[in-house]
Amino acid sequence: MTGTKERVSTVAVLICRHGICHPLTRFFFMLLIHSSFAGQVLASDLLIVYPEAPSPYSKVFDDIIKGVSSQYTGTIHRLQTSSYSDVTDVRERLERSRPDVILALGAKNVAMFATMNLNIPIVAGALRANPIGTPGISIFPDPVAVMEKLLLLSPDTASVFVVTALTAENGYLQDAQIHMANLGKRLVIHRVADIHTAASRYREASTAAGAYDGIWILPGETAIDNAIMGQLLQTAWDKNLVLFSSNPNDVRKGTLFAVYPDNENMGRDLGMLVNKQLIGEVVEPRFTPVKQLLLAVNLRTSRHLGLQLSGKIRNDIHLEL
Amino acid sequence: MVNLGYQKRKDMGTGLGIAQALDPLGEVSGERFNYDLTYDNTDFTDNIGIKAQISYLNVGHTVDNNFILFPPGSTGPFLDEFGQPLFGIFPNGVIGNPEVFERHYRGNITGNYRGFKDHDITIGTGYYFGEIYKTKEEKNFGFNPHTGLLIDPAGPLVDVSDTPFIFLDENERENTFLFVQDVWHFANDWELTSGVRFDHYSDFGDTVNPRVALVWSARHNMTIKALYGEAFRAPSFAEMGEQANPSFLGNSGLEPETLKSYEIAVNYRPVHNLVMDFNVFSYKWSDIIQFIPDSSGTSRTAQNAGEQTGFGFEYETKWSATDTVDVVGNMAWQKSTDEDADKDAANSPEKQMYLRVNWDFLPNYSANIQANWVMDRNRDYRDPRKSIDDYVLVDLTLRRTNLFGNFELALLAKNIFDEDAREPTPNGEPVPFIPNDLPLPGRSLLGEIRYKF
Repeated sequence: MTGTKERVSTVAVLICRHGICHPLTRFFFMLLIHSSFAGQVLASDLLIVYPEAPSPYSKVFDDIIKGVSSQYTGTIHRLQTSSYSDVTDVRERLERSRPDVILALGAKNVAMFATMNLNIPIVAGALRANPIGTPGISIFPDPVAVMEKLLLLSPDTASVFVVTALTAENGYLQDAQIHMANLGKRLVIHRVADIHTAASRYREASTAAGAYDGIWILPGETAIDNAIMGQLLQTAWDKNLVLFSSNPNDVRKGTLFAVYPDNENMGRDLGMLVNKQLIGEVVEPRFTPVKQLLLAVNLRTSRHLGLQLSGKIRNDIHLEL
Repeated sequence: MVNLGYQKRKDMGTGLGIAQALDPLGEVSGERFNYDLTYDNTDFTDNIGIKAQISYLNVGHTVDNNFILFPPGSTGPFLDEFGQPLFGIFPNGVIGNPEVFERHYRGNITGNYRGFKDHDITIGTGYYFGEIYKTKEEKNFGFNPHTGLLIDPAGPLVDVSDTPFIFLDENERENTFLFVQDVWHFANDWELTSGVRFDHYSDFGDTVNPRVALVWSARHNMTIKALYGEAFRAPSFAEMGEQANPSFLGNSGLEPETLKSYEIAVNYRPVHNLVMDFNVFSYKWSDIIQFIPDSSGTSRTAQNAGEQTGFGFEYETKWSATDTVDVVGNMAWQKSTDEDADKDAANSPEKQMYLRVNWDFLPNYSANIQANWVMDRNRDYRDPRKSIDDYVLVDLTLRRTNLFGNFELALLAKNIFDEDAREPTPNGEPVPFIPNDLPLPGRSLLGEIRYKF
């Protein structure tokens, strides 16, 4: 891989003097460089390591892999891990497949690679936080995109309350806070240490909130149980609050909307990351929230809130419940 | 989207027999071909969605082995006014081999407009053309159209196709319809759906049927609906055209059956894992098409003869007791009255209960038990038989999914308590043809293998 780049650079130095190239020469070299990289991808091997999951959850991984396949043109090998799989199984498979790059899906698989000290580039996906610092995409929806969806559906929302873990990566939420502030609105972030405090904070937020204020339920350490969800749904109904999350099942229960990953398109983005890893391109930031998102909306709740969903907005909705 | 289907069935028996006399020899084969083409674009423009469909269905039935309508040695149901046989003894049984071939063409288009504030309007229209393009029959009773004499019961079968003596004429029907529906969100939590459908049939004329539904989202976890609707059932070709059949005759002057129904329904989810649905209803079913005994006593002719009213309630609950245990139960009670006779309507159960528990006891393994109670089925008021017994059927299923990827295995034990469950047979003159009702299968054990492509 490095060798090819060096050869191209050497020829370029011979023809371009003092950094000035004829435009056609530059075009020729760009073509050469790209075709060399395309050749590298075609000749390379990708190992996708993904966990066994019962239906319908297995479709998440099938869709991600379908998306990856549409972007990655080399040979794809698959390794499905079960709860019994360990480092030995993976090493054995690495010996056989000899991949040039690895796509690790799921928190357990990514954590396993953290212990293996491999000299192969790794891309991580289908997990919330990345413990090994490799490039990848989180299943955490991009908070700025979530705020945009909220204001699309409920333009009168002035304040949003969210509860997050003390230990969570807060940079993404701060981006959303700045985005809201630029619009003259507020995103109030409560940081808590445990799930019990999270439940209390959500209850306090729902008591303090006014009509059309938003309450954003995050997954992970601060996720709420069904009993708290029931209380929040009742309060939201009584006070016209906008309750939302990233789980379409919550929309079935009565939250206004959920923004969740579009797995196939997220797979395409992961495929592009794999290609970048192969050609040694620097990826910054290395681990990003998912930007390919779908929107589920509860029409019953939207009518209760009196929200006007125009035809254009409804075209943006992937799932109406 | 295009769907294509073909089905071929061979060596099918006649079940209870064509004329309620068991026939172990009669066999029929069936062939069915269908296709449909659908265009569905909910976002044709920002405010317009369009769905259009054309479809074609071709169905044919061919008799492979003679239908023995009444067994060898019998006289059939052909008796004169003194109860004496009209044709004498049929040494090979009363045989009739009716064959029918049908074609159905349908096209419809529906448009949905969301551009008016608080309204969701749907307009649709469609056309249907159906024809029985070929009927055939061989038989050994009635008149021989070629000689004008009675068919010899002991002689060979006579082909009566393309004559007035065939059981059903070739026939056709056209139907055009137009409907309009508006869903009006006239206040937060309130929605009024109103619609009307106009149908024109080439053979019996026009019918207009309205419906209206008021929906109130009373709480975040409770919805209440009030519904009124009118519906109809067009008489079938057989009900209008059946002829020269020893048991049943059609009537070209039939009108459609009509149904008016009222319903109040409540959906309540007290907690996230429990859903309860309750509804009360009443209905009036008029111009019911029935085969009424003729004065000759040997045949019945289709007539808009009946009127039935009824009311009742239904309750259903779904409970996800744990992550691995689901419970579904329902019960229904109804009281239906044959208005012409002012008596309880026959055959359908007045009470019914159903319970099912599903337990995913290991990954990919599930056990399922279900019980179905059927209670209080009335006899026709003219039926001399004693009341039919209630029954409870209990079934057990053990299922293994995700085996070698796409395989699924199941072991099913049905009617595990070997209950003597029976479905009622119709009354007859002077007595029912099958007096002891129809027994349902006793205890049985079945294996099932499924493969998903």
